[in-house]
Amino acid sequence: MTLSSWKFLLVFLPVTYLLYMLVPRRSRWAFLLGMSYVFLWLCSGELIAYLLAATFVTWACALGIGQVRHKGKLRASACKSREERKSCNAHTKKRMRALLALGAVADMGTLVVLKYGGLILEGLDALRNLLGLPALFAVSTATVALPLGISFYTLQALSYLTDVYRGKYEACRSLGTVALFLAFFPQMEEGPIGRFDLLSKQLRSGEVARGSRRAYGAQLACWGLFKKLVVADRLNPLVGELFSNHANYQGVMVVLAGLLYTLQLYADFSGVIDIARGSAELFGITLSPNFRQPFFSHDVNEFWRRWHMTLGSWLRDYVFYPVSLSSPTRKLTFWARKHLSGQAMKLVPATLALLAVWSATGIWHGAAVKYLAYGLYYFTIVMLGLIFEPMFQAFYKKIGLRRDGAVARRLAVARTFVLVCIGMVMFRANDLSDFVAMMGSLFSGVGISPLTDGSWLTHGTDKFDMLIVCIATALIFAVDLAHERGVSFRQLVFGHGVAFEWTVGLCLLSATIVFGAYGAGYTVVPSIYAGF
Amino acid sequence: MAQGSKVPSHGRHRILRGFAFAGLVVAVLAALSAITYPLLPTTTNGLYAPYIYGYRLMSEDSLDVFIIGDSSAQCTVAPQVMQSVSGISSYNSSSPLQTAAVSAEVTTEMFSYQNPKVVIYDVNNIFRDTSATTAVETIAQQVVPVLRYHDNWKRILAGTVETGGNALTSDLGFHRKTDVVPYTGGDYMSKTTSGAFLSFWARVYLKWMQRVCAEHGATLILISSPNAKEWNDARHDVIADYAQENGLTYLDFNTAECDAGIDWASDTRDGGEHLNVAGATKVSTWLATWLAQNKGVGTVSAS
Repeated sequence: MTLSSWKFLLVFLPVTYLLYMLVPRRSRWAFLLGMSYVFLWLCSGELIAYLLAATFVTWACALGIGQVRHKGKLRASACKSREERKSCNAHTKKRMRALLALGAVADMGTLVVLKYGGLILEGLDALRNLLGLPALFAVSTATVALPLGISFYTLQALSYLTDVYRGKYEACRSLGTVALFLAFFPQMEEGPIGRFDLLSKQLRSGEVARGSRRAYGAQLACWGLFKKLVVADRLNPLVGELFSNHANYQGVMVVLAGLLYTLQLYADFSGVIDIARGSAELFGITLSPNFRQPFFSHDVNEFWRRWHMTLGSWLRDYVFYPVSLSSPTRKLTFWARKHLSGQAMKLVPATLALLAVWSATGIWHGAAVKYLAYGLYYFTIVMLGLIFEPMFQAFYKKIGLRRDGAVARRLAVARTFVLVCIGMVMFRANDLSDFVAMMGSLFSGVGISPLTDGSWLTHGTDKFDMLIVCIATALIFAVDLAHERGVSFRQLVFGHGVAFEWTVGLCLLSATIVFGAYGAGYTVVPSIYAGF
Repeated sequence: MAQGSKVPSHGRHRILRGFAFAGLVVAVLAALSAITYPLLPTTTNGLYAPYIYGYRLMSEDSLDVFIIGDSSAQCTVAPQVMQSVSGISSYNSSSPLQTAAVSAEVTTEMFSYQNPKVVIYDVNNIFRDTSATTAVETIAQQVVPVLRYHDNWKRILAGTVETGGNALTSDLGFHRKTDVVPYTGGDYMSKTTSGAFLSFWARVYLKWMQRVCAEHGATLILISSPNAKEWNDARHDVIADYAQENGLTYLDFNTAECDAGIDWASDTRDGGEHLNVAGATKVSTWLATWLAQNKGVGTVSAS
């Protein structure tokens, strides 16, 4: 059962919502937890055991950190000398760190073993072969089944543990609250990656959406379904053809492949996120947004602050800052200030943290070299941008163009879009060698005749499909443009009277039902990010 | 809320608004269904197959035998051969990947136009996709036709809405192929396969077929077309047991009891999954003769 399936939207969600309203307010959080586990059982079966184990370990370790801190404070206050107090605090910190490590290793270790175990074993086996060592055991390349949402709830668990360790908030004594934070069903498939301090009160509040909030939740979910079914799923056969048989396509067709996949991924991912957020609104819970008009970005840094925002902020708070403030980085900064000057002095310390973030960004997506390369691609762009920043400034000054002017900003948006599309080709290609081959064939095609002869419209996506995709994409762009100019979805639809609200809702529903890529002749397309 | 107290006015207002919106949704779905519902239903399981409704275009009550199933049956039973052997008038409404749900639905609709004495159902599709999900989706599509025919917006835009003129093919639904790709795998009936059981919904569809045939005085006969890729003893036993429990005749052309003389070296067009015209002629001749001799349908000519 996926968030975009009728089983979820027409059965599970309405039944859960209706029963939720009937349950006494103080028990609603427990009901929500129960239904979340039912959802996960339906999706993953016995693999739910991994989530249960992670929940208990995370809760216990966080509670332990809190207790050690509290006891440590009491002991430190009883210390007679400064030296004694310092030693006491160091001991407390050491114990807290041990508990954090225990929880992190348990949570992260499970993810690493399940998701990357095969790749690690293959790598070790390749190294063994290289060194000419005998094999101790057979390496299986069979894919291990992953429980739904493991990549998402693991990050949530780590953020909770780390925040408790840092003293951002107290550990939660209620196992149920921590369990609901990790298992809340709308966010299991593709996120967004939540933070405990933002969600826990909402999850326990037992609020129910009524009136306009309920309508907003339903319309947001419908808008997400429209993007998924009308755009993303309708493009799937053609994108699959262009990437699977890339050897048959050159030049402008490679450009088309990049453009269409970028569009498919955005419609799919943002669509399912909208369904998740719309569903959560019904229970009075506001999940963090995950997209903020990413294709209006002026550089790749900004793009990643607008695309998969919750992953970006997680990596910033739990990878970038810790690496930047770590002892090795501080030593490197000190060394750079002593031995380097100018741009190099600023760049060298930043390199470590950026490398860690972008490597993590790539690896998080999957156990394949191409994903690591994807992360390093952005690392390279960012580093080149930093290295050549003085030259760019000099260039703009020389040609007399203001960098914050309209022309320069529009050029920056176009440039960023091109860089993103290239990254998407790497992301979607079967492997790195296919990506290299596709990039190589980009310049071997002649003219736009492959595009105009219509032969590409015979692979499951015809001219009518493309017509609808174009119209739907224009609508998505219009909504994004409105958001970029400060007019929200809520403002667009609500506040203009019931007749307008209902008209928009019914038009959206009709368009999804008529133009959606479902039913006879279509294969069900799984959500792309659910696979990560 | 105290017992006997009325629903607050704002609560009543919300309930009324809810009903009003629901009513509008129903109206919109009905309108969309009316717009997209074709004069001749054009799809079956995603494949453009208006020919499965060809019985609508034949003279009313002119059919002796109606054949239904998936591509196995579509390539096995040739109405033209049955006509020439025993004078049987028949139509084959089988189609590739046709599900048991669609077979039952089409058979039911057929009785609005025809009144055959015998319905022949090739049960190869009873082991395919008989889940609760498919059942619910099929029912939903019957109640809200736009869910099945929504893609007809393409035909409406292109101006190629099917009006029924070419739904009646000269082969009366039979899929004629002359290719020869031999099957060389030897004994296939003793191969094991998973899924050799009748699920809850499979039994529902079989009961549905029995009921609709009984209501119209038709005899339901189950058959298994020669199929070296998908048929085996386990599936035969499941169907044979069901047929015996329910007093149905079952003809399995993969067994010696119903040996139509299939030669796997020359009678298959794709290595054993479907028969070509040579194989279909043999089975259709056997079937037409059997119907005439055992069910009093048609008469076997002296030649």
